[in-house]
Amino acid sequence: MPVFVFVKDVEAILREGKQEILVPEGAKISPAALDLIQERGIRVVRRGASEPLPGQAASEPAAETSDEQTEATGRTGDRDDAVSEDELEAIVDRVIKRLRRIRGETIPPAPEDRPPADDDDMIICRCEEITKGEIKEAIRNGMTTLNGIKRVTRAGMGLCQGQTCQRLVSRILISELGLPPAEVEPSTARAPVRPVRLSVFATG
Amino acid sequence: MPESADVVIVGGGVMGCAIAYNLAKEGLKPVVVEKSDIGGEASGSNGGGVRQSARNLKEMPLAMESVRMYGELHEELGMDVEYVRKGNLRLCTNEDEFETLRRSVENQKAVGLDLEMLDRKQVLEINPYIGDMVVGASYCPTDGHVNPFLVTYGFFKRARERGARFCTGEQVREIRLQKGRVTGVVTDKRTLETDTVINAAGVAGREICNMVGLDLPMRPVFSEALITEPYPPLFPQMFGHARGLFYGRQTVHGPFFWGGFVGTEQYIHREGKPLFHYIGPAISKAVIDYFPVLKELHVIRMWSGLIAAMSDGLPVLGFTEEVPGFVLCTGFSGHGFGLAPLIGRLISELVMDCEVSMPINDFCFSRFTKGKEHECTCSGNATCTINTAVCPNKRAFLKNI
Repeated sequence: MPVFVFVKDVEAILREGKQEILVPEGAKISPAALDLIQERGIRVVRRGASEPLPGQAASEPAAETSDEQTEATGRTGDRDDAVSEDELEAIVDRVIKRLRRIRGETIPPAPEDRPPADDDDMIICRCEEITKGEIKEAIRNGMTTLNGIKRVTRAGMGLCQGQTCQRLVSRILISELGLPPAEVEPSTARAPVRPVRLSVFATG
Repeated sequence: MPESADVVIVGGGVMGCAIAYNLAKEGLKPVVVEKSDIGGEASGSNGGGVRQSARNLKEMPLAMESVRMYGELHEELGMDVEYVRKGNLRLCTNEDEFETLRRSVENQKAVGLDLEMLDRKQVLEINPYIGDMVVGASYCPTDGHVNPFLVTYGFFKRARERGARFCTGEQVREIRLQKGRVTGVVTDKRTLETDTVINAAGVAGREICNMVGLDLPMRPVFSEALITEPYPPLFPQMFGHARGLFYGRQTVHGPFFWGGFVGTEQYIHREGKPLFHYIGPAISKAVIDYFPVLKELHVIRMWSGLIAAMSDGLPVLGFTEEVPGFVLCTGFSGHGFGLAPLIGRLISELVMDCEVSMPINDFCFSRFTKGKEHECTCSGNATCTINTAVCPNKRAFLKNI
């Protein structure tokens, strides 16, 4: 089962002349592919994801704001297998809001001037605290190798030397560029593999 | 079907990117061919020093102008390049070194550089962490350091925005000549038609020169460096050893960068960029000797790089008499990063107008072909001195042929 939907998958759909793309549950769409999907007005059909979500939305408590309620009832009304990307996002957003309320968290206002990528603030490199958004920006500015991303963003330059984040960074790179994973070269391994005290290293 | 390019730049390091940026600013569409990655070789493994002190006097005017340009670089590139202008201390460990350094400081002062000799007490006022073995130092307050990755990336990004094309992972196989003049570049993926090729290939510059039948007295010199774990800001200065055996700084992010030489680097050469088991410990020992306070820090990464060392330690810049359309910009011998913004501008001026705003005739290729006594009067545009009526390198002229 493919985990990512790439630009080339969307292009294949377009070549066949179809107007909808079937995305398996749990699969992600690469941002570049998403742009193409929105540009060509292709419908995204999430297989398996549409069933439980409307039910969940319908069981929202009465304290819910009215617009959310109408949205919820609207959803339960047409039980279609197809959920558009916008609807899906609205549902996910609502679930997250509700979970946050249950946990007593305040909801930060959603940034409006940014393209819809909620996880851009997610920290990918824990040592250097580099976010997904920073890595994506470097890739969009032309850094197409793990070594290049490392040099520009510092992801993988910290204490663990990328042992935690390299796979995550390479997944972002794969999804951004729509590359086959085998084509992504790992970043250059550097000695010493574990941090060594200067006073110990100096003894040779 | 061959593609065509206004200018082909061989090498996507800081020089190649800076030249591409300046040419793109002038409205040209340069193509940069890089065999590995942007800033993947020396531009991605150097110490990021931006210094004027202890430079060859011939390079001094360039270094001083470049330091001025580094001050404005973040504006020009629209991003922070972590430039710190907090001085450079060149440390002496004995009286001999102190005396030699004092003499060279006098010479540097004579050409207008603001620097002074400090005794141990004065050095400790600037940096209280220096070890017992240091007896004195030269101090140039306008020197500093910068993040080399970000400078290269900044030039690359800006150049791309302005229409320069970058072909990474592509190696130049051949430079085509017709009647002695450059007509194209063949890489392993494409053929580019062009009338101007800029050799900014750094350590591979000799190989690129060989493709047009020229040779450079250049050889690769091996160099290693290490970086420690981050630490709260301790000192902002750049450090060097009086004889250049050891250098380093604390980066803006906190880790300490240290590089050094053990003296055998000139005699070792192996394919690729290996690490040698005795150089890292030697650098570590030097760090502990010069800065005992750091001895409990951990080394987290080591790497090596190759220095394009010229026989006289000076870069080779400008057109060549022998091959019209072939521009040299290589051989910076391990101290080129600090000159990058200026060299990018000068080479672009040379290609656009066949004139440069600062003299670069000390770095002319003819110094190797005509002997030491030959005083080059060209300003980088070698062929102009032979044929002053119509310079064959002028772009307008080239286009009309």
